[in-house]
Amino acid sequence: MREVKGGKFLVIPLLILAVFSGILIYSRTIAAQTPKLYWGSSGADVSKVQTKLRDWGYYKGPVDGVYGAGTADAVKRFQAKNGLTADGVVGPATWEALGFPTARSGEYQPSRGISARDDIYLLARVVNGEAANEPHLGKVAVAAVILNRVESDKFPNTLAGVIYQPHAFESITNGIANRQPSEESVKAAQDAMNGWDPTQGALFFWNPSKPVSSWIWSRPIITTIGDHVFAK
Amino acid sequence: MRRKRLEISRKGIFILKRWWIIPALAAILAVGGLAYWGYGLSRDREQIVTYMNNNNQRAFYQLVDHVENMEVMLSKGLVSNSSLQRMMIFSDVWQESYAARETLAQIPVTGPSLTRTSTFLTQAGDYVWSLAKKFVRGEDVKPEEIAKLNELHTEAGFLAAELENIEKSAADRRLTWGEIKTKSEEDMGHEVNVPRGLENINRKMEDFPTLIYDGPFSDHIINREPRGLTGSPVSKDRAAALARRFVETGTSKQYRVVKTEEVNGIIPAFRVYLAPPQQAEATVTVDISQKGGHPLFLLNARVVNKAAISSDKAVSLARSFLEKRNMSDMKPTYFIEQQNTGIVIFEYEQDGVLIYPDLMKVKVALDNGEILGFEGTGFLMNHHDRKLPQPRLSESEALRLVNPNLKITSKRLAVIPRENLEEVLVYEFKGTLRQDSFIVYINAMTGDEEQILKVIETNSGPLMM
Repeated sequence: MREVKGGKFLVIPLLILAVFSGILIYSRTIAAQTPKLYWGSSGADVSKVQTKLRDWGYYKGPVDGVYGAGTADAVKRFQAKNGLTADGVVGPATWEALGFPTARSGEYQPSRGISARDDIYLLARVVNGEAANEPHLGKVAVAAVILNRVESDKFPNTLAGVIYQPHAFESITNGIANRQPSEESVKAAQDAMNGWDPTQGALFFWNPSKPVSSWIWSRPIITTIGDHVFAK
Repeated sequence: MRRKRLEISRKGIFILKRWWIIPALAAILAVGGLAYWGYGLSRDREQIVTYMNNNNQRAFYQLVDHVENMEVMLSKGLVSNSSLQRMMIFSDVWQESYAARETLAQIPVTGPSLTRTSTFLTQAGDYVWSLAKKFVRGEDVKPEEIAKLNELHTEAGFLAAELENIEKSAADRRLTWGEIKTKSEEDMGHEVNVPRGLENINRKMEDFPTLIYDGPFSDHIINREPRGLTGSPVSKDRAAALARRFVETGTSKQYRVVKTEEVNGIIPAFRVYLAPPQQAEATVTVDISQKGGHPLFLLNARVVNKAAISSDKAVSLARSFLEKRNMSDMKPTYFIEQQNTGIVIFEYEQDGVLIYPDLMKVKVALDNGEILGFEGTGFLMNHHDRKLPQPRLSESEALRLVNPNLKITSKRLAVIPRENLEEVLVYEFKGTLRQDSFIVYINAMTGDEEQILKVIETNSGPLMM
């Protein structure tokens, strides 16, 4: 219980920090050139390299913007691992390998890892919040309802739009969906994303043992799975 | 006698202690009331905080979506070779950039860094919009305009990747909550107020597709009559027997029917719960259509252990699973691997033409090769006898209409659905531009560029956008 509470209060700072830092990093990548860095260099560019190397596990020291022995070592190991000359100097090739292409010409640059990961994770969190104690089929069903809503013209057309629609999902309203989803929930979210829909197109679900509005019972019922009723 | 004494003594105590009982009661009431009031306040506060969180999270996830879409659409615009298609793609980019800017404004951060990102989004949107207008006037694109587009695409890629990294660190809790709190307090100096309108999200920004990776042309089937549902009604018992046969064929296992229920969805069905041998719990679910007894859906919820078989083996197991159930002419087209399972997407093949609307999916356990899932709704919704027209364009004529920068790796005839579900005969050209893969569909009758898809290799397999 304590963890959840803490989590809830900390999401705002997390997001703020996350977005803020991301935008900072981003604006820096478009603002700055990628100068040659070596032992003795210092400044924001060095911090950028240190951060990347730390994230990838090459660098253990502080991100202080000072290119010292630790940074040089990490750079050498990174270069050796990536088939570059291990000279400890961050040149164009190393910048590129670190994920900062130097060429800013009008050439086509390949995409950098767009994924459905964020969608699956978001979906899994709601599945976890709404159907943690349901069987696998019941979890897939809840995820499928959310995806059916995205497709339906009666609901918002993005996953986040559907999930965060006010009062659409109890676990979002009370913050329980901010918990780390179980592996089971992630698997269920994936099954639904891959097109398995045990509800055959349901847009609503509810637990009949909990107080629900009487309106909901007027929806044409498709089926019952576990503790949930699913309807069109 | 004894009883009387007890009463007296009780009364005595009461009288004796009465002087402080009332103030004590009042105090308890006051403290209780205060606690209740405080609890109410803190509960309200918690609700508001959660509500704000939800709004911020929604804005963040939508921002990621919109920027990703911008990146993908810009790359499609670069690959397209038709002014008409480019015009449509660019107006989509413009809408996405507009939406991204709107969502960015929902996120409670201010400052110059944000302005910069917002400027990029605006400029990218305005630029592609001006290009779209040029296409309407029938003007050609100049090389420097393509170069500029390439730059915008690269920038959008950066922004998308950074946003994804943020999402990942949040999701993996690589940044712990404690660190984030202290750090954000250091960075921001004070707690940020979020006095934003509660529901000021413009409807316009929600009109964009999200990504559901389900094969290139998975149809989303609502309010439509199934076209492939042939045969006469089956009874509940017959459905249970058919479900057993569907699961058991090709295995030596005997499943037990635990219960059979009705499902009144898009295709009315019987849902049969099956228990594997020597197991009490029904872990396998099969849906059999009430009309014709067609299998619609299979899902086995068993835990899958470490992957031991290759993707090639998984695909051939999935194929033989379908063949043994008389589902012939199905050609495997895509494979997705995730969590020790493999998903194989099959398309119907008629006279060498791939029919994308008629799709089936099979899920294979990669520990022992058991079939864990089957999805045939799409096939039953769309499959019918088709008379395929003779293409009016030859393959080489169609190829000449494709952007020459694309390195073509494969070509074939196919049938794809349009948004209105109308089916068109097309040439499918798969190709690469640098390391990115694209599929371009050229109408085999008119030569129009019908569709461009970008293939994104993820850890779990290709993904179509």
